Amino acid sequence: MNDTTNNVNQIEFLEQTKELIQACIDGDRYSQSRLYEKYAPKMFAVCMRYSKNREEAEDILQDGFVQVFKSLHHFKFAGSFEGWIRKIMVYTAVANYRAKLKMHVVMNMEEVENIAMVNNEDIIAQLGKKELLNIVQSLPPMYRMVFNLYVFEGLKHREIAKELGIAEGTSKSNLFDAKMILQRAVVNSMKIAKQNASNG
Amino acid sequence: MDKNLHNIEDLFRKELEDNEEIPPENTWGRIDKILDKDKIVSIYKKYARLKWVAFLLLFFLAGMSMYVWNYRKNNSPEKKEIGILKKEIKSKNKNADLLNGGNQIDVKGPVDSIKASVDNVLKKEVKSNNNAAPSYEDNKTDLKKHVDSTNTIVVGNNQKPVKEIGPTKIDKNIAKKQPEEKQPKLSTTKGISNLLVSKEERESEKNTKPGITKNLSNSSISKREKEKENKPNNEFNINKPVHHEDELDVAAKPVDIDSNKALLPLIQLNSLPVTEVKGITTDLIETKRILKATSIAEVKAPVNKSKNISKNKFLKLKTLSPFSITGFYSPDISFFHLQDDPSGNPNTNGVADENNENKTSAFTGGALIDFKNGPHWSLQSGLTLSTTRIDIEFEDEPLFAKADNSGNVKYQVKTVLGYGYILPSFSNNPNVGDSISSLSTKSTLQYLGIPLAVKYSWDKGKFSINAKAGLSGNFLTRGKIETEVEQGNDNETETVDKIYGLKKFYLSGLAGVGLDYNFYKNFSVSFSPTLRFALNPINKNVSVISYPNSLGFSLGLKMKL
Repeated sequence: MNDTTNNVNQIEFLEQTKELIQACIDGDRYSQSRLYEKYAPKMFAVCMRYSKNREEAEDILQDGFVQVFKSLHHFKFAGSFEGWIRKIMVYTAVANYRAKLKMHVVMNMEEVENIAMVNNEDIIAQLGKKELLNIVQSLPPMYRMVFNLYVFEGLKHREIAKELGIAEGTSKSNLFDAKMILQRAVVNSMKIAKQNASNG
Repeated sequence: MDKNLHNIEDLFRKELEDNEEIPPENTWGRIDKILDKDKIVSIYKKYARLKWVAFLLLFFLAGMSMYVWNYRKNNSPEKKEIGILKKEIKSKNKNADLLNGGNQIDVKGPVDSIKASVDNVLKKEVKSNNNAAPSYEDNKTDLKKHVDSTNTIVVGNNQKPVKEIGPTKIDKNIAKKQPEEKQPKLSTTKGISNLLVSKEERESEKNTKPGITKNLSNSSISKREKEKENKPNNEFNINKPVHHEDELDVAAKPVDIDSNKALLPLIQLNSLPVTEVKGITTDLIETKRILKATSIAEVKAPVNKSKNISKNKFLKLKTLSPFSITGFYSPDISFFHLQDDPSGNPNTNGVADENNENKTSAFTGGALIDFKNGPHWSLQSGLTLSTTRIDIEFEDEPLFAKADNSGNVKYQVKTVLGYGYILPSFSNNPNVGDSISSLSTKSTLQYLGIPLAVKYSWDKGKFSINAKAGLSGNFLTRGKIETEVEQGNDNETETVDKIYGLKKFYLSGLAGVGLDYNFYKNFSVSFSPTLRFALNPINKNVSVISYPNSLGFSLGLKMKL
């Protein structure tokens, strides 16, 4: 009984989404705003992971949604629409990274460790999503990109290398370094959190 | 954990995979602006493309119509007949010319003998053609007398100096001698007047040394040709297209080569390349001109008689292009079919209350091109511009403030067409839920239509009755809402240029009957009541969708191309 109800609800949801998408393709601004409201929170979280701060994430989100509305007519209504939007957001983030590639500073591991330690001083006692997100954002851009593409998008090193225009070996080493940084940052954060808890 | 990096991946994936973050409120506003900008660019590009398509279509249609028109004109039966007759005339002239020694005139020997032979030919010709008419001798004598008295023109051996005389003078003198009866062969008053050449020309001819080769240059020939063209006489020009049936009769008349063998080449004297004329004098040239004028008069005289008849016949025979263009204006009775749309955005537009005074006015104008594809059937297309205005007066209609699509709080105006937002100067910073009173709204819609219809017509004398049916694509060119809002004792009129929910395009069907009256040549007036009905709504994503329909009474002027 519950399964049937769920299926009916799912079909209704899909139909509504389809109508909404069709209206957006027709250029109806109200429908576009509804679509934005529906998917913006999830997509903003994705953008936050790929950016170093909130402002950069906003830019990625804005460019990504403009691209979504421009490319909506390419959507075949096969597969997850959310997944399709997410892919556009990720590629927008990658394009943003590549556009700013020359501005990125190469760091060595010692500096990274220090930065991670410094940033972790602000982390609250209990590690939550926000803290973990901050740790990811604190990663150097290249590491952040590789880590996100590998862990969250499930891309292989060959694909990551192709996307970012780097060697496959570089992708692997960057992922390793990123994880090392994150590990140290998390440990550090846990220590600080425990200390805060014992003091409090 | 330190040594297990996979745990790090899992930890972050688990915690951040389905994370949600609320983006700042102004992000949508920024996206909205970018989309607006892109839309303007895309509309500009779209219309630029449409302009090119319209231009190419117009060019193609113009080319097609010209081709069809020319094809029909050139392949009309009378045109073919004229061509055949022209060929016949040419061949006959050629034969006669050959009998007379070819195109080159090589005058040798004594001038007097040539003059005598020319006189003989003239005598023979005039006698054979018209017994009732005064003889050439009479005319020649008259002319001689006149010329002698005025000392102007020399015929024959008279070598007196030449003096220019106005054509009217000669005409009058000669006309006195012309009998009142019909003189088709030698009514040469105008023709003889052609003989009068300017003093300069004659003098230049005189200046040529006698007895040596004289080249009549093409320039002097063309000069005379020009003079002939300027004169409103009835000269027969073999190169001119012949339109008159009587001319054709004359031209088609079998030419008696024996009687004209010396005459016909002289007719063509001016048009033939005279390269070498030895021993020719001014007198001889004048004589030739007289001969020419005589022969012209002979050919031309019947044309004058039946000029009007042949003209009418020619008009009747003239073929027309299959295209015709109609400019029209149509006052329309407009009415909307309204339908609830549960899937639409609720409370975005609304139907006017029955108690409110509701006025609708509409009109359509444009140009339609008909392509006749048979005796009865034709295709019709063109461009129309229709304007519809809906005026609604309220007693006191509240307009509530709410966030628009950009997130700015404004007062929402709702109509049956769609909705828009206003921000009056007296309340330019409202909070959501605030309200003001509206007294009236005036909604204006303008559409550019491209109709395509099939038309069936019956011709009854000058009247033509027709029935048509087809489709029309309508592009929104303007959508505007004007609303009068109450502010104490003073009212303020606010304009909304952007109506949300209004579609850029809708399709309508059309059906109608018409009556045309052909009042002058290719021009007709037409009256055509036409029903236009929307096949799809003009708005979407609103709570009430509208189908505009109208009954128009178009009055137009039609011109067959």
